[in-house]
Amino acid sequence: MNMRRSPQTTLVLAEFLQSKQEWRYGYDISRNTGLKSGTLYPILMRLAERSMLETNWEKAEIGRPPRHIYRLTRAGLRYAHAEVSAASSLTVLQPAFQGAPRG
Amino acid sequence: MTLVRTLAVKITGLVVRFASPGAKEWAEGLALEIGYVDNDWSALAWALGSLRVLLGYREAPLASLRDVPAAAAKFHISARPRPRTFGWIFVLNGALYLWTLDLATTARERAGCTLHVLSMVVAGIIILASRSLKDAPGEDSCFDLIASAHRYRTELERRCYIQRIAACAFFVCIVTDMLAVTDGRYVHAMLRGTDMFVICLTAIAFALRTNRRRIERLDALLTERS
Repeated sequence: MNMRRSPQTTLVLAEFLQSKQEWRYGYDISRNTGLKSGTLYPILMRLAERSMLETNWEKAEIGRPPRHIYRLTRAGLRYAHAEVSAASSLTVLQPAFQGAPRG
Repeated sequence: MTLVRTLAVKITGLVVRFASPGAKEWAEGLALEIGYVDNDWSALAWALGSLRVLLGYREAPLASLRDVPAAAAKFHISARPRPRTFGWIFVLNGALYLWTLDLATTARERAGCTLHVLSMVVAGIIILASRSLKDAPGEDSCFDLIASAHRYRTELERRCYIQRIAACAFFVCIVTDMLAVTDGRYVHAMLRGTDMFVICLTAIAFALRTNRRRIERLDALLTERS
């Protein structure tokens, strides 16, 4: 499925792969990836539109607001595995800057 | 609650209020997450980031293939007269701009004006010649959801094709108008038109993005089904 490839998307997908079955919170993903909410949420929205991400509401303790939670679907997991492994192999094969050899 | 956090809450409240239908749930998610951000300044940064949700209109996505016939019928009603109207507007615009060839004094101006007229007329003819929309799907076809989804997808693809041609024509017009502007008389006569083309190009780009999103959502639903 076509999806805009970006390092940020790969970062988010890799974060989801850390715990594949668990529901994740937006703020936690933002903290772990270092992405701002304005970058993270459009990525999550695109993933959800392509049925790669499922969303839900989690009831919180009394006095605290409910939370929007996210988890990759089966298609999302397949895509995430492919994207993350492609990104890591690309990084290994093509370093952005080749340091000069030290003599 | 501190002033900074109050400001953050106000901002996210505004985002929820003005978010488009497809982004409403996300805006609510962003707003409620503020309650779990410990630091006030981080909460403000989070709220400011949430303003991004307001950029661009997102319609409520199709929840399942069952929603397709209704969405297709709505699209059909809204899209039906436009391709032909678009086509005639382009042809007439090309014809109207023929008078600029008289005003052109240099080879560059003449080249710019000719390209402008040609791009408009060619785009108009392509749009007019493209296949007209089929009749609205009848009640029977609503039962065959996959066929209905494929049909809707074809209509969307066709609309995207027309929008891409229109966008190319407008882009060529903007460039050629800039080529043609070399003296004061031309600047005055042409720039108003160029402004209009920039606005049209922007509007078409947004409409094209909306249709691409619809196609992607349909593809996702069809993949799920298969």
